[in-house]
Amino acid sequence: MRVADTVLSSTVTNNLRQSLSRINRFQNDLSTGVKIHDASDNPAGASRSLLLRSDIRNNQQFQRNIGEALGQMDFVDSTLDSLLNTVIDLQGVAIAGASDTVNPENRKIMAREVNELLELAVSVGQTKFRGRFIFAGTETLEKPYEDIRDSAGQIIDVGNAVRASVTLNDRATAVGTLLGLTTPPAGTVTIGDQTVAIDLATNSLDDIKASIDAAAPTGVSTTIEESVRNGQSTFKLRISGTATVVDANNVLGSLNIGNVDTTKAMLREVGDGIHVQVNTSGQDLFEGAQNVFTSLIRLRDALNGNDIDSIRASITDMQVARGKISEVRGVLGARAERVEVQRSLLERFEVNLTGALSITEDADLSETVLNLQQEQTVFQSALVSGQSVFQPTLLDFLQ
Amino acid sequence: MPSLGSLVNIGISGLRAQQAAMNVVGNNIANVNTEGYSRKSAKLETANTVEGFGTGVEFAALTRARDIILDRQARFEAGNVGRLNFLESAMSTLEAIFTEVAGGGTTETGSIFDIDGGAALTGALSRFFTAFQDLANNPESQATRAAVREEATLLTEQFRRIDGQLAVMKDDLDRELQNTTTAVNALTRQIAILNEQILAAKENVTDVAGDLDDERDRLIDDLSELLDVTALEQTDGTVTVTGATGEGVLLVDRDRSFDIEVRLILNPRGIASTNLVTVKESNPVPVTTGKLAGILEARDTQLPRFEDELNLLAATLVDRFNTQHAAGFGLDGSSGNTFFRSTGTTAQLIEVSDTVLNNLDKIAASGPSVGNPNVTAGPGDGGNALALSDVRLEKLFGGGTQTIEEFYADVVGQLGAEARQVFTAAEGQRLVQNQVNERRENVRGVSINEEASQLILFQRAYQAAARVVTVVDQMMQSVLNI
Repeated sequence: MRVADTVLSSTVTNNLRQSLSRINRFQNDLSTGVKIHDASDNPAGASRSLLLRSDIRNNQQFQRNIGEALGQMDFVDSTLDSLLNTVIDLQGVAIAGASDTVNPENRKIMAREVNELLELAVSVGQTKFRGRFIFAGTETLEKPYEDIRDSAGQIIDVGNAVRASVTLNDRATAVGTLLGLTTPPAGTVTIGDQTVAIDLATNSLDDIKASIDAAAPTGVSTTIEESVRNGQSTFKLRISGTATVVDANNVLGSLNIGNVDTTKAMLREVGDGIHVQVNTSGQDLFEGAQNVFTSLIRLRDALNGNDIDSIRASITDMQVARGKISEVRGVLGARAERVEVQRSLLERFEVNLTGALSITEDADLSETVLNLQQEQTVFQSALVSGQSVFQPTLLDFLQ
Repeated sequence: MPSLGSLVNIGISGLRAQQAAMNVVGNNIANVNTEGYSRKSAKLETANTVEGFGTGVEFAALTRARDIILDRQARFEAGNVGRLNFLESAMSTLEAIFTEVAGGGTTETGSIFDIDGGAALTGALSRFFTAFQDLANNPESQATRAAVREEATLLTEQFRRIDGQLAVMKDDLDRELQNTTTAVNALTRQIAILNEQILAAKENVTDVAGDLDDERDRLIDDLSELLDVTALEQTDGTVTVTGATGEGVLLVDRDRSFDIEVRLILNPRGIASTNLVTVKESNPVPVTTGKLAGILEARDTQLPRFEDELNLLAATLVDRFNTQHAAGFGLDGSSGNTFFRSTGTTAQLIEVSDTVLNNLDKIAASGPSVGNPNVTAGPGDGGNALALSDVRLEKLFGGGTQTIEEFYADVVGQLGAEARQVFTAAEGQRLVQNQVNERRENVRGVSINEEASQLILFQRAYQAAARVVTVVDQMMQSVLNI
């Protein structure tokens, strides 16, 4: 076959170029340790790599969430532990107080001790973790419980607090208008021991405050809080004190005023779509019949009044309170256990994911080194054969 | 009986013919490295016979070594290579746009898919979603809210950056289309001029047009890299060139060339787009090979396809996210707020809503209260933040089969597969072209060995013809000395 001189040289350079480009590729793999440099290097691998990385990222976030969750659960648990110890102490006081050998003076001293522990229990109910009330359900910025004191400063009742209203831009305009309600609700609302008639179609914040103040429910005071933001005043109606709000027509409810709901779960995501509650319901401990607060008040009053039957009854009250606290702690502990298990699962899973990622995109070093050496051999032989291609022509032999 | 004088003439005709032939060989050797050069050979014929006696040799014609079939094949392959070469560069640009390492964050050496800085959109997406989990952990905190806003802004910036780069690429493609069209017109004009020169040359002397033919073939080769070309040689030595597929469009006819241009026309969907038409009759120029076909395919098929995917991603994200966000409550108890600007449903327009930008309290981390769905469950409730984060688990794409991240990973995968296919096809096509070109070069290219042997032949023949003249001279001397 006839071969033109240009073809010879172009074949040699073509082969050298191809070999060099392969060497470059292996060299790139080796120096980066990665075999996928562009999506086109391995489209399926690239796609998988993207997903694996997002999985790893989520996994790390879940582990962070778990750290956060366990921090809060530990705090709640130690709070409950101190409350439990308080109640155990009180049970001892009750047992001692019920003894016939104790005289009324001693009981009065015991009552003072109980009162101190009651103050402690109330402050436990208002415990904050990182600035948030832990027994307020998800309404973490509202104080869940308020105490009512007599003139001597003694706590006579502890009950559900009332949350403040939504923020409004004006205190003198009808609330219904400000909220943009098409049919503003109207009706009577029971606050503690009084009933107030409110019509959101006509009543402004000031009007509502005036109505409540006029009815004057026991242990309740009202304020309108003003705050200024960007030069604009905003207003909130706050009903302080403890009172049960009964609002059948959702009148104050439209303003978001109502008793703080201490039951709502605070959730953390610890796995894809797996949510875990990290708080405990305040209601289970501090509300309803035979709750911690009322039991303590009863014991104190019984000791003060030298009423041995009531003191004996308090021993059972303390037992019930211990049971409640232990039960809540048990549930919390079981949840923390579950979260710990989830954490170790996530840690193991992260190792798996990282391994899968490495398999997907890391270059096999020994294989690549071998390939590189083979290719270098090819390149060198191409150079040698190229040298002999540009051999002498017939002209070299003509004289 | 021929005379001694005619013998001298025979010798001289030999000298002339061999010298001309050596001239051809010399020219061949000189052009051994000239691109598009076809080797020539001298065709020698016996001169007229007079009364049965020959009168020597004459230089009859200059012939070009060529194979018309290989020429056509080479041009066809050049067209394919032209298209794929351009597509190859367009696809790697597109690939780079979609997988480029994002600027911020730590980057892992050599990897385009970095977890923190991350693979442009993927990293931004997963950071965006995890920011909402941080928000669920700390719904009351202004700092976490600010972090959510920053991550969201970063995400929208990523969308807009990719979209902006796609827009730049589209502009570049339009400019390239314009430039290539200009190049086509320049080539067809030169071919028409050469047609004219060849026609003039061939009317006078048959054997001079050789190098002009080479030049014209080379121009047609160049043209075939730009679009589908059919070259038909006419009996008068001119070439008629038609471009495009099917019936084709007349580009060169004898000494006239016909320009094509890029013109804004409405496509069937009613969208104005620039397309190729002939200047004179405004006929469309449907190209399937060559650089022009590559440009059009990149501009009208590949780029819009991935742009559409990106826009679908943005639109779905904005829509779903806003719905979920509106269902939740902000720190200030407000509800029904949008997180992204509701009009920004393309990658170009996606933007965090002014409500959220101006007031972090509006980020709806909390869910509704159990008792009353119209009010917030409280500032410490991260229920809606979790729901927003869980949007990443929802199968919103591919008819309910893919999550957002799976969809985007799939888009990158598809782009990679598409690019890889083009790269492989281009590599293969270049090999085919090389083979055809080698075969073509083997037919028309110069071989020094061959030329050297020719040189010896003609040199010896020249020496022999000179000797004939010498012998005649001696014969004449003998006659004169009688």
